[in-house]
Amino acid sequence: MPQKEINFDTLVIGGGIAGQETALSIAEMKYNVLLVEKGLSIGGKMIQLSKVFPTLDCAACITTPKMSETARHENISLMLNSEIEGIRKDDGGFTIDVAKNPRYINEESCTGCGECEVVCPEIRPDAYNANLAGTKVAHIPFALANPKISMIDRQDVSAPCINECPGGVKPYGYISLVRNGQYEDAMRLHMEDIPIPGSLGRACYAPCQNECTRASLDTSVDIRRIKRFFAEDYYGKYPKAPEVMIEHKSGKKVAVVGSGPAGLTAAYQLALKGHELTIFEAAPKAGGMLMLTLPEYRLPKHIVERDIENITALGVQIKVNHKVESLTALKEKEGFDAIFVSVGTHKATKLNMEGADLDGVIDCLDFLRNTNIGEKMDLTGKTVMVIGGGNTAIDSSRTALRLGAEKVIVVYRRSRDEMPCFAPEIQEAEEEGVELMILRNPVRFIGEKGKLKQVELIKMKLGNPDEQGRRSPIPIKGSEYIEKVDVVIEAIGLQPSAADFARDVEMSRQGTILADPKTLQTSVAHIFAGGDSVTGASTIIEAAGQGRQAAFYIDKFLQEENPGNYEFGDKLPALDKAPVLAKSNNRKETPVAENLRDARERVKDFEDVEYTFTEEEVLQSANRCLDCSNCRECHQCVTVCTPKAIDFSQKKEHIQVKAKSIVLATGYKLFPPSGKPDYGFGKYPNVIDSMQMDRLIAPTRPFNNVLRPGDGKVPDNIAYVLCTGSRDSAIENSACSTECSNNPICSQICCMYSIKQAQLLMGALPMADITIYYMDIRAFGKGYEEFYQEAKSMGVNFIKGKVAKITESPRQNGDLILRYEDIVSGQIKEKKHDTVVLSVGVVPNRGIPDMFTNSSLELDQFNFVKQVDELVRPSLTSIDGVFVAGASSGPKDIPDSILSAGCAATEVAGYLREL
Amino acid sequence: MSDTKSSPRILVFSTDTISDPGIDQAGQRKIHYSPSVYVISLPCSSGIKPRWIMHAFEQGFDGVFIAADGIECSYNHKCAEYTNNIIVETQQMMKDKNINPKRIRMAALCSVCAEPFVNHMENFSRILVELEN
Amino acid sequence: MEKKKQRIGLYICHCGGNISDYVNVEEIGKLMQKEDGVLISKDVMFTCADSNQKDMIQDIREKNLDAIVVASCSPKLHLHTFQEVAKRAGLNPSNYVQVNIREQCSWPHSDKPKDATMKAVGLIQAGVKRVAYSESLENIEVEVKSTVLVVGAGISGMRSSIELARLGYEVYLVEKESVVGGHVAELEQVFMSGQNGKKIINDLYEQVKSYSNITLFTNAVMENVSGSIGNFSVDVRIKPREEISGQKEETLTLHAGAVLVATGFDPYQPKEGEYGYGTMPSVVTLPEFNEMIRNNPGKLVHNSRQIRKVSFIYCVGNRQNKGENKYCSRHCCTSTIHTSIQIREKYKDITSFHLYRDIRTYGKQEVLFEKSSRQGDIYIRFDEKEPPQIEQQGKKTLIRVTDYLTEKRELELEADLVVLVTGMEARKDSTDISAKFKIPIGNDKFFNEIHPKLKPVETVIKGVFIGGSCQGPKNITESVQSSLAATAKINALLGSGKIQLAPIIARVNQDACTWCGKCAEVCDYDSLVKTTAANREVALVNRATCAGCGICAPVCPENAIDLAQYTDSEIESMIDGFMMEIDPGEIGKAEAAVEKEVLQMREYPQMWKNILSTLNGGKKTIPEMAEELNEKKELVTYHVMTMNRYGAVVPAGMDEDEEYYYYSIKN
Repeated sequence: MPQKEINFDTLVIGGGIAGQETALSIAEMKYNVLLVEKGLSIGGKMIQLSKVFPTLDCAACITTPKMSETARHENISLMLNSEIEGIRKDDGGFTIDVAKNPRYINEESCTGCGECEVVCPEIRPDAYNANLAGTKVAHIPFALANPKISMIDRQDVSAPCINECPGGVKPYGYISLVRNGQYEDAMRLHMEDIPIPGSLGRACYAPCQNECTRASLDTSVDIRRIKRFFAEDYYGKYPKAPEVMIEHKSGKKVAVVGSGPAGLTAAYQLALKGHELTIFEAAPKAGGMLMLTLPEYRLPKHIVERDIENITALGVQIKVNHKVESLTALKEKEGFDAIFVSVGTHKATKLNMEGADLDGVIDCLDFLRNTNIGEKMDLTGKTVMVIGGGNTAIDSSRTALRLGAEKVIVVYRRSRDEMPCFAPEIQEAEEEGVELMILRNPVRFIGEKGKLKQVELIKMKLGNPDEQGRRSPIPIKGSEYIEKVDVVIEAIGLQPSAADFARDVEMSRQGTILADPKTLQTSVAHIFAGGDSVTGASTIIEAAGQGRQAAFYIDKFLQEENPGNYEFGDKLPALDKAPVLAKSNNRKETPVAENLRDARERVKDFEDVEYTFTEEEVLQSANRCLDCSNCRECHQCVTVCTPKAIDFSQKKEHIQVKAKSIVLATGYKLFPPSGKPDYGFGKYPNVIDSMQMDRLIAPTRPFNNVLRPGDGKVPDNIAYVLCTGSRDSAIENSACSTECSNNPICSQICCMYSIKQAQLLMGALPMADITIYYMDIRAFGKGYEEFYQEAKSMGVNFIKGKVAKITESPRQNGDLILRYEDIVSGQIKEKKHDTVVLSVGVVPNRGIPDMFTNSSLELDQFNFVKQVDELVRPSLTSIDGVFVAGASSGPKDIPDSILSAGCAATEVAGYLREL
Repeated sequence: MSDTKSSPRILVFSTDTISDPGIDQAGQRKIHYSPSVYVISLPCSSGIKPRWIMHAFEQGFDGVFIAADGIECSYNHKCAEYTNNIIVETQQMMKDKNINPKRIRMAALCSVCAEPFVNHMENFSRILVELEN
Repeated sequence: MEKKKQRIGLYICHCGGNISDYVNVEEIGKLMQKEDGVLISKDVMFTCADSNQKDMIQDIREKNLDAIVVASCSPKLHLHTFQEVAKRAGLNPSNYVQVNIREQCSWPHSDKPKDATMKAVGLIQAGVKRVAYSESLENIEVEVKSTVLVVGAGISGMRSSIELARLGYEVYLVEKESVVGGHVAELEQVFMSGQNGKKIINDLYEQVKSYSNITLFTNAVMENVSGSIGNFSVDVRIKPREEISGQKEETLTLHAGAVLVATGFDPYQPKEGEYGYGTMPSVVTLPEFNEMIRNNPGKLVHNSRQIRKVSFIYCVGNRQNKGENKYCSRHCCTSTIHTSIQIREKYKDITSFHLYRDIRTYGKQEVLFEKSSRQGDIYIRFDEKEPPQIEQQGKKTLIRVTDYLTEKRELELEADLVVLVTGMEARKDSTDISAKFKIPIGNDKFFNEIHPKLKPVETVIKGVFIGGSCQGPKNITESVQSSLAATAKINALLGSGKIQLAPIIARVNQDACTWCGKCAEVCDYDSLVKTTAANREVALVNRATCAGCGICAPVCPENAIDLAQYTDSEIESMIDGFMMEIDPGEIGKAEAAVEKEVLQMREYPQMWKNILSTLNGGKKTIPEMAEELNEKKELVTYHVMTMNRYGAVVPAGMDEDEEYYYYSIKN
């Protein structure tokens, strides 16, 4: 429900029975109400119940009509999945900050068909069913939910691999698909974000792998090689990219300048949105660094070409040999509505030192580019020195070896640890015979007749760490020496090649284009820029990520929206690895062995260094995944949702509203039964709490019948332990800390709900014995005593006794021994039951006063909301204009909650009238 | 040949707030029942006219099932009693027309009674088939 | 009868495949174009989508449609959506029918697409036929008076009157006694807050007086009541007050839009001899004892004897399993314990013995029980079967009781005073009030609400509400809560001077009616009354009070009553529609256009795979599976149940001892 109105007469907090009743009563009095509920549906605890005492009518039948009335009432606005962040009292009433959490479903589009739930592969405990069975991560909260729409339970985290990827790719998602043999689905998932999986599968530095949870256990899952597998599997099946028809055309034209990873990705994403795309590429071949710089042995060019087909299959035009001189002209002369500049860093940084212009001193970009386009240098028998420690340096060194060089030395001024190149590549280079010469720096190049002969080097040492934490290299005076060298390849850095556009947009002093880091919009509204020409030299995946980001904002711009109003991205913070590791039981699994060609063989040609996984290997590798996060982000739900209602990019929204009055209907919590360790909840599976039993006997039960959760047995001897966590001043247990310590009051509902359950169980399991251990039976309401007597006459066994301890039977059949003090006989007795239900009490919902930032909400001595005039005006709280309804002020059964809601509504009406 | 011809045609009277949502839930959960079951929903089961039931039989329905509110009825606490009176009266009319009174049935169904509804339909179908033989 | 609709627009929804995967909606759409009265028949991907809603509005306006049918999902989801569409297009929303071809067709019959299509045709035909007979119904508007009559000036009635006055209503507060305040005024100290009852009442009385829009009548009793919601007329007879000589009795007729009955309770009066009451001087009731406390500031003296030992006997006249009052009076345990704490504080050396059955200090009141136990009160628990016996031995009063707290020991207690904890009873005159307002009375003699959870302060008589303990025993807070809940309902009802009621009500064909009165007999709401039309006695529906249940229609021997929107022609035409034979050939190949692969879960969790491997075509119980897998039984239970829920396994009978279910792989 879109939340447009921001001024309300009343804010009701809590959508349980009291909150609904309050909201309805006030709305019926013609005031406009905002109902904020933290859950995904209104209904509260009542909608979880089977039947309700003393009339035994069906809770659902009573609640659902009320829920639908609340949901569609013209004077009630609903905000579900929302929390109050702060309430400030001011002259006009109250200013309220509400955070609306994403459910990752577009509420208007979802038809509640449940197909996402069918395909979702991940199971998690179902809170609606008191965790007795599982539900899918994608699911409709429960059958009677209102609104009856789905949600994706991402639990506010992404897997670390997903979180880490600068391109927004979903490694966990595709790993889980690959593991199940769904290779095409893995490809489809990848293509949602980045269209060049082939190149990435070969040459991505895979930052995801550094963050892989398994890396803390043994070694990371081989994410990149898994990608390589499915991309190549797909390309094997589809050597030509299938044409894609874009149904909706926007009629807008976008120019992309530069066809590297950033440009390709941006064009792809924008084309998918229905825009008409043209990519301009100055070089004779598209692909940017992928095509020109990365050596063939790391990234075969047919893979790059096939990747590019994914983009052209959408109808994207690529104009090669087309250097764009003026961005202004693109708009004014050629009519492009928006421009994305992604020209990369195609300029190598030069060492301006003596001898730099000697024949034999070349730059890495020329060297690699010429090799790639077939103009290979013959280095047979030569000694080649590569200056620099980055990927381009290592690429140059290995290329030099393949061109016949006898000796290749990589000179780097810091130590090996500081080398920016990815470690495995350095290692591979060394295996191939590249020598590393660390803590050295060239001082000058010495030549003869204009031709390079020697290099003078100086030894270096490491100084103190600089701002980035890297230790700075310091030359050691007097340590200069000479090396004999035939060719020097300078690979000390790359620079943006965007200087031409200085006339069009603002640039930095370093020559990068200045773009807003969030929207990638430049100083000119219709020009966006990204990739290395903005960030400086980066990686394939970072550049591609920039392209995806730019596409998002360019699309907003084309829709005539303000890009700054939107948040890009669909990933969530990385989860805490510790629990995952704990769950893994430290079970180590060896990765698939390194799968490289022999180093002596591979230097002989430009063929692949690494093999593609076999299917067996990829499965073995994928199965090492530890299944970190709640949602796998495999997006199978997305593919089956016809109304396209699933939206992983939803964000938490912060909304500020105003209300003249407030009703607290925040309800209560059930006592956590683990707070009575002597009762064995959590330890013995057949000790359950009363909410679990209510679920078991409900018609919407999680089991196929009333069965005990320990082993599925049909129970035939059930005990109820009343006053679990109520009338108990002695609860002192660190397990539940303040939540449940010292609860001297009576919870008011447990006797009756236990009797209700006993009656229902007598009906469901006619052969079962049911015993209720109690102190006093508090059947005080209308019809309650009669209901109690009826249960007695049905044969429910009532024992006045205090249960001291519950243990499991030594016979290991899951049965339980109750040790109790029989009050009538005065003896300590023991009795066996096959299932024990702890009738847990009511404890206050903490944290309510914290909502109020500049006024003080008083609590009573039991931490319920204090009723300041309990007898005469039971709805008043310590803050003028704030009222209380339902169990927020103390335990209440359903009829009493409803009455207190009506009472609060009357007080609100009087208050509003007098304002 | 489609099942609609071979399985008995049943007309169900349900109620807007109680039993009809229960029948909806059978669909929501994709629990299958005979496609020759047709449902008319009313505010309250005590408002069903015998002549409608008779009309259904005349038009070729094999059975009529009343999914009554029972105790959840928000209109009338005697709902079940009055609904039952309607059945008794209709059964008299059915006898006069030589229609077996077993062709009408009633049960209380609530808003979550998906499985009970499907079970009722199965049982009733069986009974109706037996009546044919 | 209104003209049959001839310009019907029909919209059939694909629901993105949820319907169209099983039901051939396109062909049905084409087929229905030929149907009588159907002007437009379309199949739409999502009928609920904004774009389709706009199209519908355009169609209604441009083609002048007189009715619309949407065949899509359950009306529970989108009935109101399309009613709004109709309204926006200027069409009466009752000329719209929603046909449920998703929840009641494509989904439950997804196993038989051919039959689902045939059924959908029937359902849609029924909808089209029904809408042809639909009538344009308007909401019923009733003018209401902004005046409220509150009966009873106890705490509930006074609080409600004050709130109503604050909301601007004219309030008549009618009290049969000469003073206001009811039973609260009798209490020196009220439990939980310890406030003085008299003071509470005095404060409220001052407030009542301060509102010029409250008129208080004391010594006043109800006489005749007539009228209905929005306009009740109540005759009130005001007796002269004894102290004012010369005052005459007068009867006033008050007009009110709504009535709140807050007549409270009577304390149970023990029968003579019940626990020695009335026969032994030292046996008194709790209210009598409270009066003694009020009147004895320094020492507690009864029959010129100082009281040091008080025995309270609980549940007198309550919880009588075999007797008349089966219910529990809810407040008396706390009230007694509070009294016991109060006398301990007030008179110091006094000991209380509590002879009880269950102590029902529910909720926060529990702390009083704890306090009383701590101060040394003695609790003795008796069973209803063995109630305490009271004996008078000379000046001594002895109580014999079997204590269930100490191995059923026979105890003999001496008491200076025996206090019978008497509960609440319905007011003696409640039958009289009930008869006047036609409020139903429950088995416990208290007034009955319509439904304890749905409509807890409403009675079946629209406009007549109940608040406080006349509905059942309540303490002060609870009484106030209920009367203020009723106040909210009254305010909602009368707030705008008019009420809009849904038009789905019973209607009498007076030409056919012969007034037998059967309809009036079954109506809980008293909405059918005898009237005279054309010199004949006929039934008349009170449009304002009719609830629209239709219960009256089937009982009419002349078939003179129908319920709007559920007329014979509407229902019978639906039945005809269901049964209209169509040649399956007519809707082309009846199978859905494209048989989509049935959606399923493509990957099972590892544990599911393991469980399925143990089943291996056969059936097993959970313990058997757990043993084979060497996994914890509770874990296997959790997964098997989840698998059952998602259709991976199904129960397959029970083992011999009927202890465990077998499970097998589905299909």
